[in-house]
Amino acid sequence: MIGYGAYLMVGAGRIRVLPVYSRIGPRFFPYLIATAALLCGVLLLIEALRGRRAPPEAGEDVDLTARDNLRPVVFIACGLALGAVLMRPAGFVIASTVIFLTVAMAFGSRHRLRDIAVGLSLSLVAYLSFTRLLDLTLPAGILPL
Amino acid sequence: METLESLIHGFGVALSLSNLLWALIGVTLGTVVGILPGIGPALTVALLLPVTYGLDPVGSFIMFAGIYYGGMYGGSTTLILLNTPGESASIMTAVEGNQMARRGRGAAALATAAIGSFIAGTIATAALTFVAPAMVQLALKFGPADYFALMILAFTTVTSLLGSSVLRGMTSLVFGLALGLIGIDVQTGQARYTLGTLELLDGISVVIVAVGLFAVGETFYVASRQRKGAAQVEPIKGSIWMNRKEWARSWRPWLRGSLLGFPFGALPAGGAEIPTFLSYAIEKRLSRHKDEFGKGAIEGVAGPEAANNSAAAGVLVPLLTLGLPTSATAAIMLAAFQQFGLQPGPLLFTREPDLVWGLIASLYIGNAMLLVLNLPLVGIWVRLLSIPRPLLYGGILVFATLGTYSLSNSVVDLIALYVIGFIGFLMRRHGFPVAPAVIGMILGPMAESQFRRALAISQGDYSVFVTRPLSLTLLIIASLALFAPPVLAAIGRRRAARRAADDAAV
Repeated sequence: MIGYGAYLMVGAGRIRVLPVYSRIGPRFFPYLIATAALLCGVLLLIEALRGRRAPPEAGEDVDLTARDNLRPVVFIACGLALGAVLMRPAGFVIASTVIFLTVAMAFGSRHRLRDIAVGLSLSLVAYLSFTRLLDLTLPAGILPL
Repeated sequence: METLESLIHGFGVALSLSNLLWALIGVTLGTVVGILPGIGPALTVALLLPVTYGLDPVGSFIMFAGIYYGGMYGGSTTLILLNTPGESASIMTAVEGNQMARRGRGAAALATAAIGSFIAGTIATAALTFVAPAMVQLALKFGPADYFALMILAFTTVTSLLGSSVLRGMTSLVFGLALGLIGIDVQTGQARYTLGTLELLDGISVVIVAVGLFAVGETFYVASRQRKGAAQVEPIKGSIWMNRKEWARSWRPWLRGSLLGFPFGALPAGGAEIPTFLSYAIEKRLSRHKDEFGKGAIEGVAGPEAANNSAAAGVLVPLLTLGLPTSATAAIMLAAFQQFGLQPGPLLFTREPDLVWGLIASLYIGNAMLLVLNLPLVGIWVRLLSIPRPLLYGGILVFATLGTYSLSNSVVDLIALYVIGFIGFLMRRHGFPVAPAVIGMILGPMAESQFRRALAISQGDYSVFVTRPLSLTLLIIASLALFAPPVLAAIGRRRAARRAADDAAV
């Protein structure tokens, strides 16, 4: 049923990809792609209704036998959102430490102090090498860097 | 002879101290990311794009090529030593290599993979050296219509070869194509799909899409299905110097794999999966030790590994001579060329001989470096496998954020990254391959401009695509690639059904 919902979403998301401009030149390709997208959406829907589901992708760290658990996903998503919000006001080092920490926690780490230490030093090294060695700017934020 | 002169010139470029250093950085990084689960060469090159913006293009590409080759070497180490049941079925090396490791011949498995990769990489690079100039001659005759047909062919092969079904590959490709549409239309200056925002006028950077789909999507996905307890790493046992019998059983598969891989890579036929699989099947059939297959046959490691590496080198042929990427990493490398204002294709060989030949020469050098890195020093890299996963994935996301943010110091980019990452998660979860999306995003705008150029030349006559012999041939092959497999499968099913019916009648 979850699969079915996702297919619907893909299909519906596709339908809204309809072009809205006037001239022939730039319109042709979007129309072509939108048509292809619609076709894929419809075919996927048919497959889903017939009860055919694709196997989830395998990977080195993936346990396919485990029931998928959305809690860590939501947790990481919140961490990323928080990081994006903090980027400007608090600076890169703090924002990326927050991201590091939430990901580590979502992956079930219990060594809170170690995670903070690793995350902080990683962010700091990255920040310093980017700003000092590569002349790229990153927000310093509230830290005196 | 001209080719040899160019190659010698290329070695002159590649052997400069700074370029040797770039090659060394590249192959080392490549080995590391190949070994680490969760990141691969495509992602690494994408993350390095903003960093290399101000660097010398020759050095950058030598590094990227090193990452590309290094990823192949490192990947096989992980496959052999990491005991990950369930995943292994798709990759033949893993089955045999892991079995060998468990029976105490892990070192020999690593050795045959590394030496096989070296031999295949060198043979395929030599083939690349001589095939590429010939391809250039051919490519110079291509018109826009032919290029368009070629891209259609690449689209169809990529979608039908990657992932679990053509439909899913196609959906992923279409998603990439749609992303590629965002921004200002190059030929008329019209804004498309920008949702009225200024940020989207320049389009979405391929870095964001690649990093989002590969790094963020992967992290979400792994987080949703965590393994209880760490995956088991097999200790390396035995001597890394293979014994006489192992050499005797390895060298033929190496050569066969090399010969098999290169043409598959060089044709726009989408990467290394088919030759790897074919090589395994061939070795199994030819082997005098059939009973060992599935329980740790060295041929089953040697052949597919060679085929894999050889195909990876082959992929560089269409990339350099036609500007046509057929794998995710190649697509990112194409984006790298575009970042430096270079257009891969036949003209690149005359306009940037230093770059092209320096790059090709560095492949020979990189292969030799990789053999040293991966054979005597493999023990060092293997420790990477035991990095705790929370730290590994935390680090991946920090670098994903860093690379994306440094593109243009924009929080909008970060949000786009995370949203695309979430889409990548949904795609993985429901069996959509992500590579076609990246390829579609890069190739889409190119296909569109060739299409419109062809129509402009023919003054709006659509028949131009079917009246040019080359273009017509390519389009026919493309439709075969798309429709033949399901038709063949249907015929096969019908036959099987009939046979079953016959059997029942008897």
